[in-house]
Amino acid sequence: MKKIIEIKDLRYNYGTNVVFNGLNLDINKGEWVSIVGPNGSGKTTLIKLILGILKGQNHIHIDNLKLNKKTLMEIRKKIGIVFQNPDNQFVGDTVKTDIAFSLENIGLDKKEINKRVDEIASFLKIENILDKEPHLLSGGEKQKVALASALVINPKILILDEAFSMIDPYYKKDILNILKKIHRSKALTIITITHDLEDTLLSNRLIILDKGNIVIDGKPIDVFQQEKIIEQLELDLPFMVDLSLKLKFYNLVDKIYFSTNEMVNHLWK
Amino acid sequence: MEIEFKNVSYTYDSIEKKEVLKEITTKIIKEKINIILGPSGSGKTTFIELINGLLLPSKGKIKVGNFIIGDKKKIKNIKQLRFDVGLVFQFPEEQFFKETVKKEIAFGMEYFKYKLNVLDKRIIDSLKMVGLDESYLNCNPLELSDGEKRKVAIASILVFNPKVLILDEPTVGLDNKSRKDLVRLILRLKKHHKKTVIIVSHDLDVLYPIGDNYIVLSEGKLLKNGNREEVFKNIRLLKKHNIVVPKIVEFINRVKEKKDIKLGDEDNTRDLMKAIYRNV
Repeated sequence: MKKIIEIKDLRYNYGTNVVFNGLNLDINKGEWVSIVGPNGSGKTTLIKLILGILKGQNHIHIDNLKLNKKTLMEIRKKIGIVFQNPDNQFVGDTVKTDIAFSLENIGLDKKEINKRVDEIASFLKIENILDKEPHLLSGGEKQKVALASALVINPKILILDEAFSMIDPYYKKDILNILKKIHRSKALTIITITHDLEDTLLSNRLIILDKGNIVIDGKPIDVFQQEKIIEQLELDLPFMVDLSLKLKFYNLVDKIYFSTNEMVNHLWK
Repeated sequence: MEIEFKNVSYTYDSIEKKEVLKEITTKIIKEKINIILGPSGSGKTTFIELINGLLLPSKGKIKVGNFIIGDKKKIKNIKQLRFDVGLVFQFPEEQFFKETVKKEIAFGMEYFKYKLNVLDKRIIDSLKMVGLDESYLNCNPLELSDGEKRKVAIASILVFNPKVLILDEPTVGLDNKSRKDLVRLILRLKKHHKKTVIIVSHDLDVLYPIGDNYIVLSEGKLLKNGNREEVFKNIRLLKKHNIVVPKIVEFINRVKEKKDIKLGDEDNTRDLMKAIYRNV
């Protein structure tokens, strides 16, 4: 597998506070990685270091480019990012100009910009709000616009930093379904940062971070079964996983079920 | 404190007049945990801002204890209403600006020149109510953990000794540990301090077990109102209005569709597991 992000011996201090003391992490092309950890575990700092917003002692390579002053702009073009609070990332006075902004920055002509904006709007089903002012939208709509702005540049890596925590669960489901589609069709590398293990079910790799260290790194289903770690960090397992494991203990089921229907049909044949 | 909405409507006075609440008649139950649900844009924020007089209804009346909030008339003694009904906004810690926890909590009371002789004791009491001790008084609020910051923000409202505490998305942005901690705090405020609690939240998975009364809004109308059982009995209706129900409720409903068995108000996986054990 080809690496798209390579981090070697990452060190970063925040004042006297050591956030990373030699972190190593490789992410492969096309992976969907969830990073979970308590507040203060270093999740957002890690993203800022990858984006070159913060500077640490490190060797970070993104898509075969070593991150430094010269490559910074080149690297940022490869990464689309959606933050927790969509209000902080709008620049345009309409949804349309907002999405177009990042394309203008890379110097595309007007015709191409319009075409790309229309394409992404139709894919995310936000055509009907293109002429509205971003700040008048609902939280869920705002986050879809932020996602559109991140995707319109055709990034190689999409990062969602706590992007679901402020929005309606209805929109969260919607956005997760969109991500599933993009991940499958474009082989895009996705990194989602979240507090909630429920959000990690679609990813193929789950990393739990605590105090700047990787506590565990594996397939979500394997990580969920590391009882001690889950308990120690006071994480809540996804509902179906939690219920499956409890029922498994009493031999009522023999595996982890992700679908309610499947489990109910197994229990009451 | 009793709160009653009688035929309350609210229309925004902007260029496009938009009726965000339509003829709402409902009650907030005293000294209980009242949870306001609804998709974005359903009128939840307007609903809570009407309770402490930040907004005035376009039609109808709201009774908050002895206060009557109606049409466009001035509310008598509005200062006292604001003390009785404390409102904690979303991400309250973003508004911190004092250099110590003590000054941060004192700020509101000093501003209103409210019973300053009891200030110090009040500050310590309100800190204790949120589960923090006196050692926090001289800390810089910006250096606390996210969960602690949220608690200090709540303490800075509790210091007014409100009878009603309104929390707008209190768990947003917090990690799991702090979310659970906050849920325990809310329960204590109800049980030991007799607060009437009103919560607006999307975070039903953690808050569902503690709600006594649910008010469900959709497109400005009252969709459903009642206790857990009454409100979550018909999940089809809720889903039709884009309201995501807690996963445990979804599961129990699915089981009941398949088989007529006694699963009821289990609100955690441990109880649910036991109920399944008895029923398979």
